[in-house]
Amino acid sequence: MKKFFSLTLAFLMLFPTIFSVGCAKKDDVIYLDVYNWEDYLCIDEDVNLIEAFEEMASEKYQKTVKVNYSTFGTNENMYNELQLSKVKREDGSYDYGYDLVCPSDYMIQKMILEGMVEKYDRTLNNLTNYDTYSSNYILNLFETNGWTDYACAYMYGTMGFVYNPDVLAQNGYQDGDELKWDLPWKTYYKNLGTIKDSIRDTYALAIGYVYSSELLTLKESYNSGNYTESEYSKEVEKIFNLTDPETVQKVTDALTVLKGNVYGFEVDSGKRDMASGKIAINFAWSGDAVYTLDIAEEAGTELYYTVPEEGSNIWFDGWVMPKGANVELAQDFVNFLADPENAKSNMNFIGYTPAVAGEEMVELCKEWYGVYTLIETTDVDNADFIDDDGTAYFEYYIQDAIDEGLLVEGINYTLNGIDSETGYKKITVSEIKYPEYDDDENIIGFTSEENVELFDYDVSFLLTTREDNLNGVTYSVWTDTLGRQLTTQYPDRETVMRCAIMKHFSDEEMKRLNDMWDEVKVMAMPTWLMWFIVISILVVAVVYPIMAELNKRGVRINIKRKNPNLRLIKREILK
Amino acid sequence: MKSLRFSRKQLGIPYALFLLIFVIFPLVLIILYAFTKVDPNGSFELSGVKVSFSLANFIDFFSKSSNIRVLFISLGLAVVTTVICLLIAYPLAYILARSNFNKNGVMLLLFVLPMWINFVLRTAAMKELLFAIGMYSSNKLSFVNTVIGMVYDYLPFVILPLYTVMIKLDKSLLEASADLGAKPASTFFRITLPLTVPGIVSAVTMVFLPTTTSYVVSDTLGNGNVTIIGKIIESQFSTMFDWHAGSAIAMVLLVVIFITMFITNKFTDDDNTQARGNGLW
Repeated sequence: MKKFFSLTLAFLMLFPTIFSVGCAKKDDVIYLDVYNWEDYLCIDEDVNLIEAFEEMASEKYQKTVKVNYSTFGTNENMYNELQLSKVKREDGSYDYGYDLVCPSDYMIQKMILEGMVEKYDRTLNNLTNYDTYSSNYILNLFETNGWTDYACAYMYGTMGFVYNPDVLAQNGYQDGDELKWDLPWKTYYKNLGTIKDSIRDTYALAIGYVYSSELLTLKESYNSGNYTESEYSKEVEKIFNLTDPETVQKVTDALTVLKGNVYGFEVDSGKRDMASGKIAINFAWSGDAVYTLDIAEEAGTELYYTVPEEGSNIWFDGWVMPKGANVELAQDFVNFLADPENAKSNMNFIGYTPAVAGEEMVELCKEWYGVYTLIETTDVDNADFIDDDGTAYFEYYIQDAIDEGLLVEGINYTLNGIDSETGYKKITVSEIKYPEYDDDENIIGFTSEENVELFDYDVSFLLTTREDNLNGVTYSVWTDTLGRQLTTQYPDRETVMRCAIMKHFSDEEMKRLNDMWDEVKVMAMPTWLMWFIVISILVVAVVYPIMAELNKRGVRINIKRKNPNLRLIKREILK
Repeated sequence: MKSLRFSRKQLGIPYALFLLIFVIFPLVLIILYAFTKVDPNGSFELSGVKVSFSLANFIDFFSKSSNIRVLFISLGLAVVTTVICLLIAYPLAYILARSNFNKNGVMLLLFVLPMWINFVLRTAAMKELLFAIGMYSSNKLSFVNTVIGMVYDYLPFVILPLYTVMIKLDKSLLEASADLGAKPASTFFRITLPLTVPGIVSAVTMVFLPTTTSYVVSDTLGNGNVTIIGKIIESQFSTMFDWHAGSAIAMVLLVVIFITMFITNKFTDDDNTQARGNGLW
């Protein structure tokens, strides 16, 4: 025993030495603990934003800056982890183990309410990128809700349906089905849709369905001018945040019906199932929708995303600094991410829409979704592309080509005015030539498409910065892909106006929702199964101990059995 | 140099420490959480929050019909899974233990092999397989799919204990039975089955409880249509932040399991359970 103790003691004495060695250089290294969603930051071989930041910050502080980057899967897990990491300070307040976390809207509200977050300090003058390049819409949204001091937006988006028009058409599609919340409730789409296995999101879906007519009436009167913009969005917000018992009851009923009609609940598998064609309707976040659309496109399926016309939920994820954070360095990080160059890498890597706006983001949109065409040039030396006949081409964005007079109205394109269906300006280009690439991205030839319809999609509402807005700058993208990636990432003004932020629910409200959720999720059990289990347990629990007890006392219940030997003997005799 | 010597007690210390830190301490915490409730006027603090003793968590649990249903569904699922597992594994273990071509354990390996592949991966693969054979044509099949997935995941845990018991089975007893004129069926029911009950009991122990809580399987294969008690516990902890209610449900489950274990142990002869470590593996 003594030996054991001395061994343990020796070991314990070693500990401080090990630690002190580890901490010896602490003063020269500044750590930034960042806690973010999984796959929510561009970290790949070409662009590693963490390394880039470390380099930049190390130069600024003339010390080594290290980012301890960890990730979480749900807001709730993040919250629990923060609670576990807290340390009490001398004045009774708490210090959390992270410098920067990225929760969603409602969780930010909860954390602000609970006094868990540090205020942003704009006197440090290191949020210039964020304040300059952020979308005017987001900045206004934060100001009206009073979050500006506590949070900086990172990514945002809407909720809606990803759908596969081909499959819907095979199942009795009726015009306008995809535009309303009742899409997954339609009985002819039985077993084709999935909904989210998360209380808040599916609650929003059910609210949209239950209050469909109210929301539509509201929209009607907004359109006819009875409501101002802010009044309208306030009303929509009110409806989407209803949690009174009556609403909850209606939602329970609606979801119970829905549960029998959908393929199932999912959080992550919907993307793959959609692309592989297992399902045709997926209630999704816009960022996931973009990803789904992309992977489906690779598999050769064309999917679409729609935000129901009744209105929907607009959400965002933002950076907050838990109490005790290294404010200056954390702000540096937020500011670093708001650099348009980094935002572009992020958008490319994640597929979600960053809160960063401005010209550079518009250029990226054009590059991705705008339509380019090849136009002949005499400048052979600088040509983008020379075909077999020796004709040289430049690649032009359609709008630029029109602006520079390279495309002539009436010959190369026709103006069609405003398209009645979409409400966007429309042109028909008689021929669009584009290069074809092989696997190594070498140009191997070109193809052309005739009579392409292009829409002038206005992205100004979400993509103008404060300054752009003051200067009256507008941005638009000529695109042929309405309803797909571009409109998913940057919904137009009208769509955004009908979307509401969902508030943080109090404990009491949350309990009500959770009870509703359990009621919906737990299947109604066949009564015979319940009885079968009860009876079998009772039989075993009662009969067996009694039998055992009787056995012990020497009482034997003999069930008469044929003596096998008797038969043998009989056989012998018969022989 | 004197050689190191350890007494039996000393050798037990590492495990005793492990037991104390990772088994007993957490269990005490769970019990503490289950019987307390957040209360601003509470008498003592639990992780920085004032709490007081209360039975409210249990009352809340049993006063909600969905909770009772979930308890039944979980137990039903567990019973069905266990029974199917036994029906498949028992003959298999019997064949494996008795056959000659299993000398190198190759056959056994084949049946235990799936256990070495990641659980989540296996479940996801199972889903693809079930989809291919059309088990997802209706969401009414969710329960069946979940059962299939559970059986698939827990089958090795049934085969192994049964196999170990059967391989130790004294062949001379079977020979004696045959010599005395018993037919094979009779031998099986009166010799083999009673002697393998300890194996069955430990198999049940290893399958029954995990089935009531492994919601990864029910979520993936049941498309979220099958909710089991593990999921309810998880949601109490992660969405509701109510550790007290979550612990209470865990306690309820624990009690149910103890009852089932008590019943299953009744099936083993007293001296047999002694010999086989109380039926626990």
